[in-house]
Amino acid sequence: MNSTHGANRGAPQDQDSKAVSSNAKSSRSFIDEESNFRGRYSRSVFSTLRHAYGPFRHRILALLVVGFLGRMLLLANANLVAAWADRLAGAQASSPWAAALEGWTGDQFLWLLGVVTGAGFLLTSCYRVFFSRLSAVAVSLLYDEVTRRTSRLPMRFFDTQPVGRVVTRFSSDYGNVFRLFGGPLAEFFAIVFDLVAMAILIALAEPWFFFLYVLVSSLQAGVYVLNKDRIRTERRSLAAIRSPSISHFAETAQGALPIRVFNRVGTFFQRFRQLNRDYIQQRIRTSWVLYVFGLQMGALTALLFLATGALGWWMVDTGRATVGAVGVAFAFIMLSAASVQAFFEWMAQFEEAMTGVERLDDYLRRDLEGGARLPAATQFELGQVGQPRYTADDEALAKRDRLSLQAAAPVEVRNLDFRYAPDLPLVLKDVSFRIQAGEKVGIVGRTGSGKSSLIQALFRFYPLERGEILIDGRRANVQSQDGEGCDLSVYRRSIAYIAQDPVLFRGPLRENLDLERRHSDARLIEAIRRVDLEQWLKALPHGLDTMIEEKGKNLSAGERQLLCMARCLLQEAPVVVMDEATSSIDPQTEDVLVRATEEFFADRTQIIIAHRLSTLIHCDRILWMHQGQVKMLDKPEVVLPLFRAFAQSN
Amino acid sequence: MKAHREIQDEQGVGEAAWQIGGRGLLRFMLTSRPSALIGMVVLSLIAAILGLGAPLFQKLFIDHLVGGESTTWSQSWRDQLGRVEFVDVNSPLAFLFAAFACMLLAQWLSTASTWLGLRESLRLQEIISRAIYAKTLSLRSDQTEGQTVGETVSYYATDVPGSTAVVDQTIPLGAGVLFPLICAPLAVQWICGIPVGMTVVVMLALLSVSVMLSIRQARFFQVFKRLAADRTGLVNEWVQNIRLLRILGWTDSYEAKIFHKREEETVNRVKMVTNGQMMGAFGSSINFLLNLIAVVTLTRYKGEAATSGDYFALLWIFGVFLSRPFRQVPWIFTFTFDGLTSLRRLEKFLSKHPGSESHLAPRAGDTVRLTAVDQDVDLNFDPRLGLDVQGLTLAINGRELLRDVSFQVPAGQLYAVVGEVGSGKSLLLLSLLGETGAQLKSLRFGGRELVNDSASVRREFFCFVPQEAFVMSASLRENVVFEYQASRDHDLRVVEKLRRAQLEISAPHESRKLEATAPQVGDALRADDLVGGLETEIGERGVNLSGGQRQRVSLSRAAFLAEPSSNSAMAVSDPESSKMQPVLMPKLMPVLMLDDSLSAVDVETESRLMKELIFGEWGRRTRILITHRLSVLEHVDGILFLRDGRLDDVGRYRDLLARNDAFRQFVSSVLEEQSPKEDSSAPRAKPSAPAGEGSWS
Repeated sequence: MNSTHGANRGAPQDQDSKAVSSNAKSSRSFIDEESNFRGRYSRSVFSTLRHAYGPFRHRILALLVVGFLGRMLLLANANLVAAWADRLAGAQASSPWAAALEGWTGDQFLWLLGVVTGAGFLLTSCYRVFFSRLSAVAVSLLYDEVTRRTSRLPMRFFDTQPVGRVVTRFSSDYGNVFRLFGGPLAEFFAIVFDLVAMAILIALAEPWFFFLYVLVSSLQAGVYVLNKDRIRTERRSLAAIRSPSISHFAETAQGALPIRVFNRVGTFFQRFRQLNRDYIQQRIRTSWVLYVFGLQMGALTALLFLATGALGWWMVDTGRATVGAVGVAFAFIMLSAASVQAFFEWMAQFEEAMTGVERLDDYLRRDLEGGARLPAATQFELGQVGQPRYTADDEALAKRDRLSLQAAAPVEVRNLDFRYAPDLPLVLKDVSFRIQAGEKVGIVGRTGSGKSSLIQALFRFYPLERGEILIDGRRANVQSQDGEGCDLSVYRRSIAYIAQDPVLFRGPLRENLDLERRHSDARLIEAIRRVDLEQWLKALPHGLDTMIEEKGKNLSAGERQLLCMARCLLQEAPVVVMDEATSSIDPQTEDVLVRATEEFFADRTQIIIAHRLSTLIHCDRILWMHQGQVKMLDKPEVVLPLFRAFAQSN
Repeated sequence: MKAHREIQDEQGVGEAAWQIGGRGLLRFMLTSRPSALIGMVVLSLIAAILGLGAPLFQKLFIDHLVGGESTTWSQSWRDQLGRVEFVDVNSPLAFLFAAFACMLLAQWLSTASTWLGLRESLRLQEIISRAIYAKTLSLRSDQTEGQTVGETVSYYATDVPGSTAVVDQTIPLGAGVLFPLICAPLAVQWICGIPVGMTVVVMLALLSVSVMLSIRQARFFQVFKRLAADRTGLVNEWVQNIRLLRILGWTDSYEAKIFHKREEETVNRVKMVTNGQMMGAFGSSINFLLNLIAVVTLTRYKGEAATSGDYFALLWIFGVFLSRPFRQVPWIFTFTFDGLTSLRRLEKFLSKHPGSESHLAPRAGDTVRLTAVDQDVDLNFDPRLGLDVQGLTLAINGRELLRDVSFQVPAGQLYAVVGEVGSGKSLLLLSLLGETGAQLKSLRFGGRELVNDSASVRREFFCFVPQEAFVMSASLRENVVFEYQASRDHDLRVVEKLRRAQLEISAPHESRKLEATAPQVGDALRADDLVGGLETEIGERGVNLSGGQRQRVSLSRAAFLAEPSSNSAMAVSDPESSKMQPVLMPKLMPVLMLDDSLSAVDVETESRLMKELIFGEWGRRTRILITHRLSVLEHVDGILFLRDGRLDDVGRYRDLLARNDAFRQFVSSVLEEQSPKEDSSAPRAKPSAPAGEGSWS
């Protein structure tokens, strides 16, 4: 439960292709390399987006219509002006527009222009504002859903993924998605509207030019296709090269003291300079590719302009088209070229966002831990067997249910075989024992004897290979489908866990004791009183609302430890597990741990991994683990001398 | 030695900060290379002018298509141009080519300007990054003012890229925009006769609305960044404590906490996009508005005298000439405000504890020499004399944490520092290193006075192993040698040191074929996963090590670095060394300080580490050790007993027990934690003949 990751960072960890030595066996292979997303996006990505936007589909449809109408009206301006110009020039009414304007006065025409423009403008703005808002909200749904699933993934997932990598999905990947889908997506659709509206209006004004329009689009599509791979590669390289420099920076911030002490400032500075330079060089390369792409698109537009002009000149010259029609075509070609260009530029951008969606989708569709259920409030119905869900009633029951109403409960382990993953060796072999309710059992054994694994198994953090574990005669239900046994969350709550290294969260004191808000303030204060922090609490100006800093940095070690005790007391668990991971404990912590076993949790069933004799001699029995098996389970007077002799002989 | 030369050619640690100096970042940015900025402005201006040429010539082309047919449009334009005495226009195709050329050139020039801006801003970012890095490295632990690692990283990851907006956004865009904005009122007066002042007032009024919206936008953006960082902090906590959350049954509630933050972020984002879209809408509609105002004004002003040419000119100026500027102005302001906010944050960070970077000066013999400082410092000392500390006092924020601490440690002896949590043990060691602002009357080692020497000279004498072991994301070899791209030359020594620190790896030169000798079967969560030998990547992006393993890596690093090797890269190139008398004690870092550096290892490993390292390899050094372990106290040469920042007593374990009540009390609270390995059936401290001592020393 204590993590080895000290850094609090959102550094992107993606895609860095670090050289992995080929000999890497167990350790390396289970730390999967970052999944590589290449080629086309899978269908599930679009289905995920459908889920996110689904609840809003009617509004989206309405907004799209509004937006399209708005753009149509704005673009129609050019047609109107051209028709008017044609009429002023006394040319034949060559288009239906001009015919419609027959007999209008200048004033009336200006009014029409004003109304059309105003309405177009209003509709477009409405569309943009409301669509962007809606999109921002829809994409946030995706975030919540991914979080709900990730919270419930098998523990193995968290063992094999570096913290930074998981956090990246929720920081920079989600950031990309959020940024582009809330805002620019409206822009992107507006461009699509323009393209469609232009196609229609051009076809109305002068069918000849429609082919030119198609030509423009396909030529620019060609330029895009030519550049696409390079842009993608350079973008990926940029994303990949960013993380090492940020990680290095974070590392340096953490290790500044030893770096100075060992006079390694030079080598670290040089390293940073190199990484930072690599990143900056890559930014220059990536920008260059984008600039070249932009220049190519721009040059193509200019050439099209030239071609259109020449063609128009020829057509007017030979009497095949009116000046007004050429003017309209001109305007459209220029506008459409700009729009097509913008379209492809956004395409390249959205590719980044889609990558983000894909990476979130990856977490969204994994099977949950056996026995875990999604909350009833979950919105996406993905229809996956590995993702069962609570009904509202079951959920409410699971929240208030308790495994046992007794103060203490017996723990029974039967024929337990246990391993962390199917490809890893067994760490517990045929372990069986029974601990009576209220009994205090110490576990001893050398490093690697299976002490900690036994605790992991007890909490059902990993599937059991064989055998079963019963608390108060009840086993946990770890099936995805409805199975017999106690709800997994209820089962886990029945075991309180006291680590040597107490964990506190950033947030108010109250939340650190009772995040679920099950208890009244009076009960919280009572728990604090029991661990003798009452005076301390009284001295706090904000009482239960006092903010606790990251990792409880603003508290002393003893206060942290005692608060965790209070939290465990509030858990009202019939079984308490105490994990003294190391031998070196400062006197304050030591004192608290002694009081925990002898005072706070004296009436519970206690399982203690201990190194200290003082704890061990007060245990009712000692469980001696050796090489994944129970070597002995008996009174301390019997086990301890033998264990000591054994430890010293090795 | 190649590296040596390389870095001397370029800017060093201190220099990055020096380059920026006290000038303030914005001034530094604008003055460090003015030629680039001027180039950008000129290119942007020309591009802006050419960009206006394209629609003008396009219009003329269309007008001339009609040729002799005198339409209102073409006539008016010809009138205007006639007045300007522009060019003689004959063929419509000439206009077409002119428009084409303008278009192409404008694009190239503006891209060139943007490119120049990018290069310049990246150059500046590089310099600022280095300064930030140097500052981060140089701030002592008592100078960080509670700033988290995440916050410091955000300076580099977020603020540095954002800070140069003035150079890469404001200047190129601004130059392109400013020109039309200034010209427009003049042109309006010149062509249509409307007074400049009037146009300026109207334009300013419209622009101020834009600016208001853009300030709002920049604020939303700042909030957005802050909220995202907060949420990431929560996610980090969530991933790291996923087990605990499941045990407590808090998964839902913690999610709710994240969602709450996420919701705040979404609400802000919704406001931000709304404001942004309004800004965009206003920007793009502003010229319609101006058109309207202009036409009305013209009618009022000139009445019947206004020609159609006047109207068209006006429409052209506001519709074409000013459309881009008005659209871009709000965004330019948004970028600028945001950039300036980042800039201020960076400035504030850089101005913390000015001059702290000077601590970074390395000693002679470091593989990379950055500055000439300390090159000629005499590092000689008399190895027979030990450590002598006089009058050490430390106050942080007005609180006195260490008061008048004085003690001696004879050469080659092992002293332990004990005391309650918060009694100042770690601060004492850090103060000796020069890592706090402590005042000392005297600090001598080997008869040499160190009080007036810089921290870098002090580091010649002290080796320090912190409690919180530092592991960098690199190979095991690099972590021990503590250098990136460490050569394999030292592999034999590296492996030996690792073995001393109880991390077994065999056959150093064939590390590729290696397996850790004892991959512990039991505990996969903290398994000794060093199967890749010295090549094994450890740290954040490699194998996750347990706290104990990290401490052992940190110990082997200290063992490696505190021992002079025969290799030239590591050797002390001090000519004095040849004159040294026969050494009784290692010359390199003769004082070793361990801040409870064995706290996270298990009992068996701990006793082996004591035997192999502290009483073994380091047996001849002067050692100071912070510890809670009684078993160690029985074997040390002396104990420094700290109480509330004062040195309460110094002496051997038995003597202290006999004479000091407070010490007895302290010991009795610690006593019971003895491991099962030691014989401690007697609850009172009656130190029996230390059984383990023989094997340790």
